[in-house]
Amino acid sequence: MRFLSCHTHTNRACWLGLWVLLIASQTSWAAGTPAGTVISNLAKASYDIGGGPQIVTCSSPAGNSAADDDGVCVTGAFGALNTDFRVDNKVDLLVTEGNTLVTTVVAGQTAAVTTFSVLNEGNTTQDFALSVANLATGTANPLALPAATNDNFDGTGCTVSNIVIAVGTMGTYTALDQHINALQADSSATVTVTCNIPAAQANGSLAIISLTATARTDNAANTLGGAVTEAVNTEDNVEVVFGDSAGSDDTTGVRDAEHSARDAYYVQTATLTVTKTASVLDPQGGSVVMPTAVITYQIAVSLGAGTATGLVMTDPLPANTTYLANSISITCNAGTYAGGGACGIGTIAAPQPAAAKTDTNLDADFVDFNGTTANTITVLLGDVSAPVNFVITFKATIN
Amino acid sequence: MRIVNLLLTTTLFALLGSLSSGAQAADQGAIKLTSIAQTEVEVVAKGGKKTLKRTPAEKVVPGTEVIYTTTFENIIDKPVGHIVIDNPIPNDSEYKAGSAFGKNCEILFSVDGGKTFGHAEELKVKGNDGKSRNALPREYTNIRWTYKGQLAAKKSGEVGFRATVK
Repeated sequence: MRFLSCHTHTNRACWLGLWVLLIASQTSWAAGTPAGTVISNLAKASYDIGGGPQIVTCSSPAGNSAADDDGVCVTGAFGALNTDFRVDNKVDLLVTEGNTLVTTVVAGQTAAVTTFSVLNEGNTTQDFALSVANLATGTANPLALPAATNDNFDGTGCTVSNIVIAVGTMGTYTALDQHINALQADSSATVTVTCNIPAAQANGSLAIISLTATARTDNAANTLGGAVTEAVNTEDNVEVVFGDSAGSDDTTGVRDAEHSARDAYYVQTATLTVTKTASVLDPQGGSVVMPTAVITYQIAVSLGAGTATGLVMTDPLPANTTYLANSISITCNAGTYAGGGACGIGTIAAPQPAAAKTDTNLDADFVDFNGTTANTITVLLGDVSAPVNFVITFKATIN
Repeated sequence: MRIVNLLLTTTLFALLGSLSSGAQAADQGAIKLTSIAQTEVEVVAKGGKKTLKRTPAEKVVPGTEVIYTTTFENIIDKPVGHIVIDNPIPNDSEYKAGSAFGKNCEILFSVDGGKTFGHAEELKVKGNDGKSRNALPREYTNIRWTYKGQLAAKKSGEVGFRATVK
């Protein structure tokens, strides 16, 4: 006797059950038919002997020759038996990096965050073991930028620090679990990995890490289930069949219940250079430092590397000088300034011609004198990314 | 699983008593109908020559192509006529275009669960826009083979198709 059989043709409950099963089987599965599903088939032959009445015979895997009196093929009746098998447990997974970019960090940063996605492409709910590894020095950068840089340092304390469901359903995550619980077929989880960056790490350093996920048995608990192994296949049992592709750092490659991807930390501490110069113009047109002579101050600011956010330049006026009202101007030579910085309103790209600014505090030009701080020039540059170069100019008279 | 079903069947037979045993005491027909499900695996011989070997459908996951073969054998000593074989596309499976075979048979398909049959190009289904369109092979629900002429005594024929597990 095989599956899906109703032994009498009038057993309504049984037939209803079969009908429900048939309806359910119409559902389409993106990840495929669930493991354990019985796929069955029953053929029917009708024929006559010498033009006599039609006879019906239904199939069986070993061969059936009994005449089916009611002409309806039902497994178990008149020698008919379904030809069937069970769909096996396809183990398939895909690990991808959260974006296609390096993760920019600064030296000494703790718990620098990067993310990966783990997708269950199989047809069964599985647990997934996770492991983070530092790759060897010299490993080529897998991501777009900076293309010329290879791995030259390791982050420390690299660990999975959070797992959240992105699509579908997964089991309970307990803080610092290094595995995903009960990730259903077609579901994907976002795995957060954190590493600490050494304090003295030089700018331009690159550390490549990998996240490897290994499919495990869903053990119906919040612990990591046991290993999955391929076994000798039979028609009526559900065996594990590996179907995964090769990841970046798999132990063996394709069909090993394992998949992996890489990400990289790129050290890019902002390097800001500020240079201030002064020139004097006396009433006679010379450069003698004397009362009523006008001093022109120039502050050159440049960012050679990295990103500075909320950049503010302040310069207190020297003693025995008086600020010359509305004498501030700014020249933007290179770079892009976000957040309505002093080089313009909103995001602008240099070069921009020298622009005069007013002294009023909290007006639209992001520049003031004696407003934010007493007797001090304040310039808000906002968020800037290297390379950046701009020059602040203002004037004062000697008392 | 088969063992469990066997036990269940035995129990049901006991419960159903005479009704069940009466239904099972069937007359012998003239055709022995055998259906098998197989998969193909690539076998590389010593010289590197690759051949496809058929095995029972043991290793089947979504995407696997399964070959269903039905053999009909005339087991009496007289010819048998008007042989029609009907076979539904199995659950959770999609018929593979052009895969139905059957020597000396007319092959028709159904897209309505076997109520009506037609040649592949005649089959229509209602599309999402409500308009009738040609049916896709994966939408077939049943296949019917009509054997031309009579099947002589002790002779047999073979029909079948391929379907991919969804």
